[in-house]
Amino acid sequence: MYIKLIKKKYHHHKPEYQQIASSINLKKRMIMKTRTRRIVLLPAAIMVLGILFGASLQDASTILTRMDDVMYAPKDIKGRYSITVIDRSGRQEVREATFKQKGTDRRLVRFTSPASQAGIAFLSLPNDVMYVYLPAFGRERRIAASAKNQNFAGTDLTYEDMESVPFSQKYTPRLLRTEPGAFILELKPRGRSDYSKIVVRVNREHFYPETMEYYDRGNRQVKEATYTFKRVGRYWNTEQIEMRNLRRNTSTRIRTTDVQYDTGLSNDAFTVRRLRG
Amino acid sequence: MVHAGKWISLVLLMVSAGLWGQDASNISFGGRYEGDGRFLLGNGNDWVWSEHRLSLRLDQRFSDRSRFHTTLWARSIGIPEVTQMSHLYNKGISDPFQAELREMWVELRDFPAKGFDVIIGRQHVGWGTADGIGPTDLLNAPDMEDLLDFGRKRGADGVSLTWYPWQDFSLQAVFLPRFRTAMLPVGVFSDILTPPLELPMGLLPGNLTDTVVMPLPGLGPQAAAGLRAKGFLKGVDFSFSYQLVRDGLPYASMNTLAPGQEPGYLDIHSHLRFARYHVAGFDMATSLAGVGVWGEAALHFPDKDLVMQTDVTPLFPGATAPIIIDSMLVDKTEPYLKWLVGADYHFANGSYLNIQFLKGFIHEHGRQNLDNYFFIRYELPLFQDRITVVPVNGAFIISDFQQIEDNHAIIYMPEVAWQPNLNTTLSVAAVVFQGKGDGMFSRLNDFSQFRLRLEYFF
Repeated sequence: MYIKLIKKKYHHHKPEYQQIASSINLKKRMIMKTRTRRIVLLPAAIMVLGILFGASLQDASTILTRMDDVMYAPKDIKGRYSITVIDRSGRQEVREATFKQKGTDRRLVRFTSPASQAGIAFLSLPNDVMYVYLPAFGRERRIAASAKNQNFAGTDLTYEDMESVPFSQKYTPRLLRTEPGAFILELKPRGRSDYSKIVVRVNREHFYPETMEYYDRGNRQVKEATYTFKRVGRYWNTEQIEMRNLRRNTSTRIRTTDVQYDTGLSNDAFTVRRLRG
Repeated sequence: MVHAGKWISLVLLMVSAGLWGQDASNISFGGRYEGDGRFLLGNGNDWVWSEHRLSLRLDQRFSDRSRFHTTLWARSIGIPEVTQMSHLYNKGISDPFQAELREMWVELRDFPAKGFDVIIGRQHVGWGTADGIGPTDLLNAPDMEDLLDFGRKRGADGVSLTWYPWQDFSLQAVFLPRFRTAMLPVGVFSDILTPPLELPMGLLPGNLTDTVVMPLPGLGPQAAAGLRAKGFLKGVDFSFSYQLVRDGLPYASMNTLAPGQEPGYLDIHSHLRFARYHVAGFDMATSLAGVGVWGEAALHFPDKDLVMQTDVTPLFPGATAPIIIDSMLVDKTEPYLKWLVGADYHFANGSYLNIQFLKGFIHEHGRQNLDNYFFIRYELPLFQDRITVVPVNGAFIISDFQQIEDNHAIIYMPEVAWQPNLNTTLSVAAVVFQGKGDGMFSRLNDFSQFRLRLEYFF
């Protein structure tokens, strides 16, 4: 009985299945399977569904990897951030910072203004290691995992948002849908995170992110980031990120300026030794 | 006053020379104004603290290879004690002013070879992982002038050489050729480090005088040194250290008791010395299940027995030989451990909790003399971090677990801070002392106070 039901369902979906399978070059294998006896239909169906699901996952992974490739394309990058924090009444406060990044997992951000935050520096290293240097204490401190959901220097970005880790390493993607000009991916964190998921709109032509919607553990959308990319030489440069905090009704606009690529930064520039400036 | 003027001129000269002589983009000049006023909650609301502090900071970089840094304090501090007409002509009395060179050093990177950094000058070495009160942070003498500013240190004059053979490992050697004493608390807290006198029944303290015996001026007696290996392994920051330091807080090596001017009174003259220690240290910091965790331990080996002698010969005019009573303060053969553990956590609502336990405060030495200190602080940011409420902040100190009721102190310091803009913070706080016994903080019941502060960064 169960075998029949499976068979019926299988036939019901046959045209759609063939179309998708064809697109992933599995058509020949599928036709061969339809010629086998009924008794093998159950494992065959399970296998086929697995291949289907795997194909979808594979596509989502490919898209996310290509997005990472765009975002982390340069060997290294350095420049300046102009960070404007806008509160719910529209009042704006501007912070300035310099940043350096190397590869996919090393980033150093150092505030230069306002005076109360000048000198505060943040270092992201491989294996989820982050340090912050506070000039008032004159020493660096490891950032505990619980602190990663905290706002970074009064902005709408958290320490977790500031981490330099490729999305494909931190999240398991799923292709939600394809829209004209964009792929919509759902990213679920692989490890500890303050977010339950992130929904990313990826530009279909150039594979850079256009928007990201952040959901908390209660599956409520809490933040939304809008990206503006601009071609600079061989690379797509994140010209602006606007992070809106939907819960607090505030936003943070980060503009990057004076960007330089592939200047030959060494790993030594991303050490606790260099965190003090 | 004259000294203050010299320092200010020096800094202005430095700034102008720097601006003329260097690429301005390599110079960073900034600072902070801090106004701090405190009055007692009881006792007629007497003012007990008034400070206007200008902290000036100058940094200059020469490429990526060297850096000059200085921090100078210029401040009006203290409650003027005007008691005579002549004081009204004297600004040094009616308007107390003081300047202090907190730090001034030059850092040379990749010097004398690649992978080495050298810092020469007055500096803060800052070892350990604890917040302000770490028992391994000993190379800088404590600056206890303001007792409510836990963990403030004096700059140390010397050389620090750090070698980075690998990315996650460093070896640091520090040599401080000149001894610097601690600064003692001022104002209403000035007697806090003086233990209560235990005199025979019926006798009262008369004239109390002292002589501070500084270490001999040679390099050997004056110098302090330290060696520290620091690393990072499997998610844990750790370091091992050795320090040869002289305690910046003196101990009484000899008390001479003599009859006072009036019957029933005793005059006491004390000789104060600075003891030397070998200290083996360890510290670590990591994150466990989202909780920040750190710890420090400092095993103290006294250089020699610390003995307090009490000479009572003047009380016995007919004595044919000196009558001296010895009291062992710290036995050289009994090393003792000061240690600290701490943890902090950030909650999802943005609030922050920090807890520390310390065995043995800065001034405590000897296995039997180490008190127990619990510190706790809980911060709750509100209105997009504009306001920070600190409903729980303070310490619980126990001198004797067998008799907690009679040997304890509680310091409770709730605070509210308002940040009208990024560079300005206004705060109000209460500091409530409650205690019983002879511990340092147990005798402050009369000094509970209210505190108003303004900070402005520029």
